[in-house]
Amino acid sequence: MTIAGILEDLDAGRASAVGLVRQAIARVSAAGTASPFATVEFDHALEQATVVDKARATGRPVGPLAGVPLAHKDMFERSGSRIGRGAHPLAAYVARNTATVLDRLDCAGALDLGRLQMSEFAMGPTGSNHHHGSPPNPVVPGAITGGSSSGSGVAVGMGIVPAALGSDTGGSIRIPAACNGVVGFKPTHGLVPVSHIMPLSWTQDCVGPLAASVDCARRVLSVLTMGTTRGTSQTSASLRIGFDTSDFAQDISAKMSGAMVEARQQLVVDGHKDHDIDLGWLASLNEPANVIAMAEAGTVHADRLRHACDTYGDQVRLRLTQAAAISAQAYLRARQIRDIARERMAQIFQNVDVLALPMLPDIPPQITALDALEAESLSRMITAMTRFARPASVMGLPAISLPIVWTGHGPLSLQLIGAPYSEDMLADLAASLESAFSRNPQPA
Amino acid sequence: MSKYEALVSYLGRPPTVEERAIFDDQRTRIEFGVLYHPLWEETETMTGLAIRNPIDDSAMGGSDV
Repeated sequence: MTIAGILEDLDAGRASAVGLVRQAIARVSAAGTASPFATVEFDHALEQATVVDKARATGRPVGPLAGVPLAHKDMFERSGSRIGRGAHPLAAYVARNTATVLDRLDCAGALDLGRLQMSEFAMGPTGSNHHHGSPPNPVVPGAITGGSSSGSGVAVGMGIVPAALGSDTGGSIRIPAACNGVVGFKPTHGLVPVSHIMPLSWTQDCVGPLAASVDCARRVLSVLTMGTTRGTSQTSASLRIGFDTSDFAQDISAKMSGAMVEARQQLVVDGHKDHDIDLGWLASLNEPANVIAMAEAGTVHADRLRHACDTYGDQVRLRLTQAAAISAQAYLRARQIRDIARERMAQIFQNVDVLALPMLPDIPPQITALDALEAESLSRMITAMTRFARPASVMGLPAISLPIVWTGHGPLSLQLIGAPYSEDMLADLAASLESAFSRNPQPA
Repeated sequence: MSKYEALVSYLGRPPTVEERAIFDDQRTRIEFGVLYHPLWEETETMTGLAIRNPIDDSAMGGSDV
């Protein structure tokens, strides 16, 4: 299911928006407990679809996503709708406002099917949720869904919607995208408005799409940015692509290492120039990124934590406990380190256009493998899962994750990182790689 | 208010053993992972403007007061 395909069918009269919503309802119903939805808004979507169908039938102009069914992480507010934030039921509330990004999607004619499951308060890269569990991974049986935009990854992976909004503070778009074999696009920090969306860490919070393809992702992003980014692909110019030579990107599985070699070879075949770069220093950004995220999350949650500490799941409560240990000096120093890192990265982007890194160190891990780990080993595993995601988050850089190789046990995803506001260049490059690697399609 | 009292206030109750351990571990990690971060130390060396350790008065040029 792609946005281009849906629009083609709608324009040709082979499908109707109402029909597409009814198909989605049937799929969600058939999924039963495997449904990734936290709250369905099917009546609302049918009303939107009816308006779109009438507009098409009468020849009125329609928006670029008119009739395309979408659904979003359970932290995007729509006036009058319940927002759960993946938290204890007592933390749910009815929104009084509508997120700016939903307003923009509404104006483009997109249909909103409802809210999707997520990690509690968007904290947790595995996708497991203390209160609500997690939907099963639709493409890798028994594997984690990744988080925190777990439901968004699953809904796209299941083919219920061609795209879904997620949020990314330390990898929460790109990690579930990689786990579910779909594309995840984290834009430059500040490019997409975050008003009336649950905050976590305002220095790093970004909104972006998880999508069935690069084309789907960029079409949605173009609407979110009101056309600041292109909704269509162009042939990628010859670019300078940087590959890490340090231990940072070497500590990965043999399969992931092989996928990186394949990606590098393909980029050279496509006329790009590959460059060796020592990016070992990126590993040191993990702690400053965590300090910024936890200090800001601790501030966001301070009042609620004091009065309702035990309504938080164990994992989230323990992470938020870290915030109490972070002094103002440590937080400010972490912000200074972030500034230094951004300057250093700006120098690197004078010599290369794009950095290519693995998205995860391996295929998505099995839930049973995580369950068997002791607390300390689990912590190391979580750090390993986020280490390639965090640098772009803390430096506010755009990054796109796309599956390039499908092993018999799950997808292996590549991450492309660019300078601020290089979304179009990243999407063009990702689209060409996606096309080249389509010779390794997802197993049926 | 001691750091422990601040933690009690933050959680709204005394911490569990696990919460206290996380709190103490985080303080250590900040010490080595942020306050003396290699990028910061490198920049300080280059510019000479940063104060390496605010607790060390000599670094601020006034330890004899």
